[in-house]
Amino acid sequence: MLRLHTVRKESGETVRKIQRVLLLILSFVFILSGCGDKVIKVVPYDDSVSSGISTGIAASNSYYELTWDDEQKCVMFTDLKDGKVWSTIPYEYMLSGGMSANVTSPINITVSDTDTLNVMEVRGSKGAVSEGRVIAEKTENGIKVTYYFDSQKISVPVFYTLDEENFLITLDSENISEASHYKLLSIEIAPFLCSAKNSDENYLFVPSNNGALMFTKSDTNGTRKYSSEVYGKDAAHLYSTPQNYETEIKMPVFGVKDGNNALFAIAEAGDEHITVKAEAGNERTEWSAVWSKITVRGVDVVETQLPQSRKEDISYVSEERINDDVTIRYIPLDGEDADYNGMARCYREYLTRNNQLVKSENTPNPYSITLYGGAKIKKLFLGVPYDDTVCLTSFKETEEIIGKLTAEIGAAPEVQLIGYGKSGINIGEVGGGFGFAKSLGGNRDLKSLLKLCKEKNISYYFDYDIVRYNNSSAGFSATSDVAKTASQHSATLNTVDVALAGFTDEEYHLLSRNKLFDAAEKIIRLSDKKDIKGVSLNSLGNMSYSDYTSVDTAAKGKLGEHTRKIIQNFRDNGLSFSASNANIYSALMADSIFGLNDKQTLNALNQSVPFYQMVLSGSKSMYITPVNIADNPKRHIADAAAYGLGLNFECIGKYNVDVDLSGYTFYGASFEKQGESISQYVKEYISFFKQIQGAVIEQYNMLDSNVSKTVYDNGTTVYVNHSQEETVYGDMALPPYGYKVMQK
Amino acid sequence: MQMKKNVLIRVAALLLCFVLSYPVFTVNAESFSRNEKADGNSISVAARDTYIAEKVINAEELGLSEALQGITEVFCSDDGYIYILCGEQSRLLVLNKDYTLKREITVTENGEELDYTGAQGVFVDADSLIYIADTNNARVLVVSKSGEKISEFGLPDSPLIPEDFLYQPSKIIIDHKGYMYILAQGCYYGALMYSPDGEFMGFYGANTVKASALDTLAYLWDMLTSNDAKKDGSMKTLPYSFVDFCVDTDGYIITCSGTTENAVNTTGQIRKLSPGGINILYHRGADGETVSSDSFNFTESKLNTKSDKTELQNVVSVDVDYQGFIYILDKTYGMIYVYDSECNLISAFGGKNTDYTEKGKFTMAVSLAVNGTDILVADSEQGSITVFKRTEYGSLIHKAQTMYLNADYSGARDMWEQIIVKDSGCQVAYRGLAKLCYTEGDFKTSVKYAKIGLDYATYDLAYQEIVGEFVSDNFAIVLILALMLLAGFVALLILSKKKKLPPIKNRRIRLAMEANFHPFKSFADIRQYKQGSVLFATLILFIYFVAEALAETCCGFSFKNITADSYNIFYTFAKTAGLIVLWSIANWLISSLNGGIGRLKDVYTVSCYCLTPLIAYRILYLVLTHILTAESAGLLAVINTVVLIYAFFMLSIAIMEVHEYNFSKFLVTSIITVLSMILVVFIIFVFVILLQQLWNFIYSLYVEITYR
Repeated sequence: MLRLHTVRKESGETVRKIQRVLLLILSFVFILSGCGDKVIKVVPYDDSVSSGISTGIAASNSYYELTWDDEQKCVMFTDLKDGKVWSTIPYEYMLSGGMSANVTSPINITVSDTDTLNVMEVRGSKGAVSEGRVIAEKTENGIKVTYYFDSQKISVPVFYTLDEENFLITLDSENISEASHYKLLSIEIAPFLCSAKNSDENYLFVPSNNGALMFTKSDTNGTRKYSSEVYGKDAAHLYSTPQNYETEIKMPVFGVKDGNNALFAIAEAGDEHITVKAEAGNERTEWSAVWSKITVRGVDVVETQLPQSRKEDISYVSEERINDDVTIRYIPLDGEDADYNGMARCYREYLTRNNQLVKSENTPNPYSITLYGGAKIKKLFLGVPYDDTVCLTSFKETEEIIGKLTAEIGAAPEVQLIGYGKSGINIGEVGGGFGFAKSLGGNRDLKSLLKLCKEKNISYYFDYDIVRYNNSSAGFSATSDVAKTASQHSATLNTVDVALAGFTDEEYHLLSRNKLFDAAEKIIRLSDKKDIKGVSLNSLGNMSYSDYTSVDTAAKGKLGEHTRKIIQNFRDNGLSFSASNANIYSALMADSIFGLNDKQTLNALNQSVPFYQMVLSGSKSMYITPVNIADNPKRHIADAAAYGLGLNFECIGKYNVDVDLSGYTFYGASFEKQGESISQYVKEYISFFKQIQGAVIEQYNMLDSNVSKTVYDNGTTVYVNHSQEETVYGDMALPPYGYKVMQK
Repeated sequence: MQMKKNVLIRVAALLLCFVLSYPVFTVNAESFSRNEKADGNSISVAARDTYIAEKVINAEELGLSEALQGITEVFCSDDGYIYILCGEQSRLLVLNKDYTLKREITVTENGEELDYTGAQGVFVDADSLIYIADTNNARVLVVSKSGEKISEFGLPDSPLIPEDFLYQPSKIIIDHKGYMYILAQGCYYGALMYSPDGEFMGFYGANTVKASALDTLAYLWDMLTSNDAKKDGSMKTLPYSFVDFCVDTDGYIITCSGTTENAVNTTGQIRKLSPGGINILYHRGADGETVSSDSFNFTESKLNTKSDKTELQNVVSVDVDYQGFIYILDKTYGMIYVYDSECNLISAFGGKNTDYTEKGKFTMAVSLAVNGTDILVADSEQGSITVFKRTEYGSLIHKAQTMYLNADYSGARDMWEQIIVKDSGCQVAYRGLAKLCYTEGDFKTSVKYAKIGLDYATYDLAYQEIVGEFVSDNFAIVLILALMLLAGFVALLILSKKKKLPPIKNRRIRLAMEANFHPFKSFADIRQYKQGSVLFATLILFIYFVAEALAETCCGFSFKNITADSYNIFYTFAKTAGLIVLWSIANWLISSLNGGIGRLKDVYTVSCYCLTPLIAYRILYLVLTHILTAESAGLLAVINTVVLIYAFFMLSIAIMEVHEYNFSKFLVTSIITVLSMILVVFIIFVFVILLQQLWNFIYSLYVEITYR
């Protein structure tokens, strides 16, 4: 009996022990689960609400009236000065009784059906207005409109607010409700607010590259469509076909010119989530519009094996949804300001007012040079292949090139040094291994180079790629430190081949966003150790990517904030900073911006405008893409003159055939062969550049198809002939690719 | 040598993906060219633009109220006018040289408008007569400048036309002698040829069926075992019909054949036909040798894609300029390739529109025409013609390459030098300069440029001259050195004969070395006294492997056919050490069953000892390839054969001695050994393939789980 009791007692204790252990594990798991990122608030879907405020003025100030039209489910902003109405359904269209589901839709959403993995678009005019509910509530300076898509059980709350002379539209991301198997992917709010009737005078402004116009007139080409992600395509999304990650949109702005009025939009919060979309010349609706699409969830498109050896692209949607608000500020313009020049002025003032645009300490330089340090090639040792970083421009050669140019031209260039790290110009270790390739020379050579730069007061920037890497090193793992895609896979991408732009087998990873700060710290330490005074982060500055390890960084979230923090850290540590073809958040903090071109290849765009340059002119040193490798250097220089840019040249110290046969191209870049012509180009340009140095571009206009006119705030006007023929404009004859300066 | 090259090419092809993957940082070039590599492969490299998309001509641009839909062909007449055929709309437009609209031609017959919807081709002869291939109506319309129908060509009434012939004319050309060629859709007999009098003369220039030895064997087998059921179920292999053609300035017809294979882009997309219909187009390789264009791939050898959705390149249009440069259009990827008359790629550019249309890219590129120095490409989906203008660099390279091909080397000097300044990686420029320096007698510079341009032919010529010059300048010294070398070698032989050389104390090593001179005695001793050294044998095997690797990777320029990225040391290891180990095991196993008394250790040891002549040859090869030119390859091949025979002789004796076999038994066991080696390799391959499949299955399972 005693034995039985003991056994029972022992077994009871064992059970209790197990219970204790399980409890401990559960508590641990519970505690851990709370250690993660912010948990998205689950908002219940409200089926009951059926009415809100009725038609009438919901808010007003001395400039605007905000009116809610409950019948049309439309928000209108009326300019009290001239009576111009900007409305979510174009006012004129509404008065004419237009019924297009596209134009009358106040909101559009894209959803993914988690049961079928199908993606579908739901137009608000149907999903919310006719088959759902649109409820408006009054708020302090405006209204809150909640769009209920009853079929999908999704509600989207949007705030329309007056703010002095502007008005704001804010997506309240946190209070979006999703109560069925549909997941929200993206939202287009007020797609026809920024619109104009098709005509010869009206145009849409899209920030493609430097900026571009889409004329609204209808033609036989049909509707011209444009869509591009702000700051470039998300590099951390998986696609089944190669993508171009080159930044197409560097600024989160867009606008429309409608007669004597214009509406300019700035995404002032959540700008990374935005895609600018535009449609011009639609013959059916006779209206053209530009708007923003807000990505709320990331999607990976993955080719998936199906039964019977079939493969199909399937979209995998991220679990988390963005939880930061997205705000678009709309600024109505009129009179002389009602064009893209006015928009540029407006944006410059906006950035200045918000202390984002700070004048660089560097005086804009007429020219700069980009030098490439090394490149990785395969070599053989006794038949055993190994990677070696061969020297393209050693420290010594760099010093010689800078010295020669300075002596011949009489002015020192700004210098960008790319691929001086251990992996050369290849994607290799994070930040090029935070060291220099041995083949470039020793410490003494580096010191000598830096001494020259110091003596001649030359600004130089060593470039580091801290975004892309392909092996574990320098304290970063190629498995655990990789950013996550929407489907929670490692953001591992394939490079693209030069011939048919297909995927190659070579992979690289994107560094997790929270590790970027560690990488930047390492750059600071290296710079401190070597007494380096300037750095650049070209890849971070001109490509964008998400990291779905945290909801904060989903859909490219906080990219600008992170980059700004990193650059600020550089600045706090006494480092100057340059960027190349940089997104605005990076450009605003840079001393110099390289690699600005006039490339505009989309057929939908009618005219290129130097909006980016107009905004940043007078504050930053800016350089055009390398002149010496351009198809037509003279045309390139003419473009630089029209846009007020300095010239840039790209060189290497010595040509290496092995590097060339490994797939790189440094054509035309050997300094030995190009040095003389570089000096010649700069000498010719320098006297012109001095007249516009540090001036702000007030206006830029194409006077005819070949001649442009750029007006600076110092009274200088530059006329440029962009054609290969001599052109006469007025009484002024301009030689082919020539430019003339007129002083007030 | 060729086989070895082929294997290396395959290995290189596998590794090419790595090379291609290097990011191009310096330029945002969409043009590329191809540089040949030492391993016989070529690599696509970003290149300076030779053409840029200058203009897109569409209905809006031409001031037309109706969009151009379904353009099927763009054609440039000799007098410089551009004809745009919109087959879908039955419209024909004529543009002026400056690409403005001249007129829209309405084709009429007796005052009534003729409908030619679906027409695929247009041609305009020297008399400005317009020929329209009215595909759907099975006729070719001959129309005057004003649009009045003059005549038409239907299906000829001729016994040469097969009964089941479906006549759908798609393209027309007329050569310099007035012969007309009509291409019918899907017709694999060739083009229908008409005399200048309009008389049907037969078919011209059909492609041929490409057949491998295996295909021929299969055909013979089918012939032998054929029955009705089999015949019904069999598929006839037909040649690929060509889809477009043009006439060059010499009157030759150049054809293109669309997609030529079902697996990957292969070869022979472009052919140049002699009057007899024989392909006379060739590609001259870096070694100066020519191969027929039938064996040359005009498109990409590898389609880089992660998925199975690979679409093959499809060459749908071809044109030629007055300098003989050939322009081809790939419909699948919207790529334009420009080749010179020897099939060297000058430039490739273009691309496919993805989400949005871009200038210089196409949604559905269907036709290409050359207008002077401009290239026009029609996009049927966009209803537009893109005009590509030749850049300054493009003009330079076209002019220089034309001069080079016409052997006017010195005339092109300035141009090549300018090209190199603009594009340091332009391989053809280095070849031009190499040839130029050679003709001018500057052989050292020629060698330098030839090395960069991988121009083996010019390198050899120049190098021969340098060697010749050196020998004639230093004849006395060379002669004395050669005599001294010979004397030294003779002395060594005499001393070794008289055993006056310092003896090798280690008996095992001594026996191994003596095996080279006295194989019978040495191998007998090794077996009898068990004096084989596995360690020393392994050392010899290792040295052989190293010597082989060095000979392949460090030989002279003319002899090197590998590159660092394509070289696979495991392959060298397998064919040296792997082969010997496999031989030893297989021979031991087979001999054990056939009364052989040798142990595995013995077979391995003696087999390795037989490698010493091969080591000596590889070292000699390594040295000589740095001295000799490629022309002397024959001498090296002779030495190689002699050494191989001697090594085989040694091996025969070694195996006979080790196993105490007579020659016939040795021969039988050796044959069985070789067969068993093949079997082992086969089994290894099967095993590897199975492992691969298993891995693929596990991986796809993993992917499925992780995404679900």
